Amino acid sequence: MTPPTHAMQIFRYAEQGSIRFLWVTATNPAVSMPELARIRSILAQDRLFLIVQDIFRTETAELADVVLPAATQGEKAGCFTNVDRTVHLSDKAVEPPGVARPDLDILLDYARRMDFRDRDGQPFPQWHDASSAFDAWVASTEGRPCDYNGLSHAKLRSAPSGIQWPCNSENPDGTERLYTDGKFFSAPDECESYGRDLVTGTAVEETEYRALNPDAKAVIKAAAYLPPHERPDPDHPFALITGRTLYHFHTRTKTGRAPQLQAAASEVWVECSAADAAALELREGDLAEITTPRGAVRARVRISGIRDGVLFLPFHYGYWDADHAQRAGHDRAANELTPTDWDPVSKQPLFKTAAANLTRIADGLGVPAPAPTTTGSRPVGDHVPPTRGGHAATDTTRQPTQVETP
Amino acid sequence: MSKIELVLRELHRSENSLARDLLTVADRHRVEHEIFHTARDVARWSHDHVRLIAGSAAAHDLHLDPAPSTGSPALLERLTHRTSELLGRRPEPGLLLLADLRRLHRKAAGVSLDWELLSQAAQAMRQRDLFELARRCHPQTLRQMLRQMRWANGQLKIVSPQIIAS
Repeated sequence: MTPPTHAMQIFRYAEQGSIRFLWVTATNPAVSMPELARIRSILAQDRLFLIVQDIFRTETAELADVVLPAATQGEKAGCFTNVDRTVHLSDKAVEPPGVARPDLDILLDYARRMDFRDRDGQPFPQWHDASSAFDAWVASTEGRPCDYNGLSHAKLRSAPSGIQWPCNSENPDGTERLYTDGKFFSAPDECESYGRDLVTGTAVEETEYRALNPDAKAVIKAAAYLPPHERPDPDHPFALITGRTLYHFHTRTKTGRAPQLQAAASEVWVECSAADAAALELREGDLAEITTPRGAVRARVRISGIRDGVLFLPFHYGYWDADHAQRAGHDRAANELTPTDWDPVSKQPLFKTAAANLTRIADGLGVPAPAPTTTGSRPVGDHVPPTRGGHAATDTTRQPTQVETP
Repeated sequence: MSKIELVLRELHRSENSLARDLLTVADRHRVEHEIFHTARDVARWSHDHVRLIAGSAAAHDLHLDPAPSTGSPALLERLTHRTSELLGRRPEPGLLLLADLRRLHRKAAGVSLDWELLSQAAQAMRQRDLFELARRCHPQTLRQMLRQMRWANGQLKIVSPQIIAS
């Protein structure tokens, strides 16, 4: 069977022209993917019909042929499962604004209008709302490690803290701990996949996996060192890593609109070490330009405890709330700088291995960088006013929880 | 020249040739990012083998270059880069990629047979040091050959449906 096509490869197919129709739901590749100039040029192609479905007008929506406004959590019913296997039901509390609709309603409406049919000539998919879609999912998990067969919307509504799968006739209240018998799900007939070669990403064949005799035991693989594909050199002497701050999620679509979070980390910054700052005659708050072969970002400098030779840029800042110059120059988003390269196993883009240069652009006039003084962006000097929540952040009033009875 | 020298020469040549092909395929398909980077990563294994073979050959008064041969001249390399980028928005290079992956698979299989040959020859001729080279390197290199082969096979599996059907 052909393996599923991962997001990076989907973009490659769109670039090369074999994908002409792309439907992006609840994500913002025009800010979150590496090498944004490339991503924009792919999404802006006339030959690509782009639908963007989201709750706000994102940078990706700006490139769309059709925008479908979606409802957010609290405006729709549905389940989600935490990484600790806890399944929660999230009921609708308020109506979505304007013409926004739940993602599921949009997709089902599309399927009906396209008149999709299954082999029996019945409308496909067979389900018609969140509850019937969940029941179909439950049916597909029977006998699998993630058995949901004891779960339904009604059952989850009676368990406000959620229920951990597997939940079935043997474990009617769910399962807090797995592997209590000391056995992993690694038997060849039980495991989900046979794993991959950690360097090439090639799937391990069944016979090869069986030869490991992995029944109930873990398979431990060594990954030999591979040098980064882009290493610092005299033109780009710094190792650039991009990442997160505590106060924002992903491309700030929601957290940038939460006043307390926005105030804590209001604008992009770059972190560098005290020794590197001294060598470049940079002071806290100075404006600097960070360049790689793919682009340039302008950010104010936070002198932090980061190691010498390394720069850090948060990737959250795109262009929806950027000023005119940032918008025109595309010099705010960290992913302008990152390379198109991914881990062959997980298919995760490599956001930590670009080589970059740093130059001083303007004096910060003593105003510190807009970076939080907590977490990794803590300044080395003590003359920066601390990041504090203030009144709004210590508000302890709570809305009563809405629990509907079935 | 003894026959074992021939075996060493052939092994040295075939490892070099595989590495060069991997790098050429990487350059030719620079816009296929996973192919580009992984082909270069696994070419390093063949470069390591070239160095090991040259080291052992020296004890037999056989001079083999421990540095991997660079293959295509720089100008040609730049040209393939540039062509790859210019054609990056067209579907035709896809068929060339399938042919390239097929050739890499065949070539890696050939190299693994050359190692087998060295191992057998060294035992038959009681060439302890060469047997050691083959014994020490062979399982590891054979595994790496197989990994190079399986990579070519796996990529072919992944990319062919889209290339053929689109």
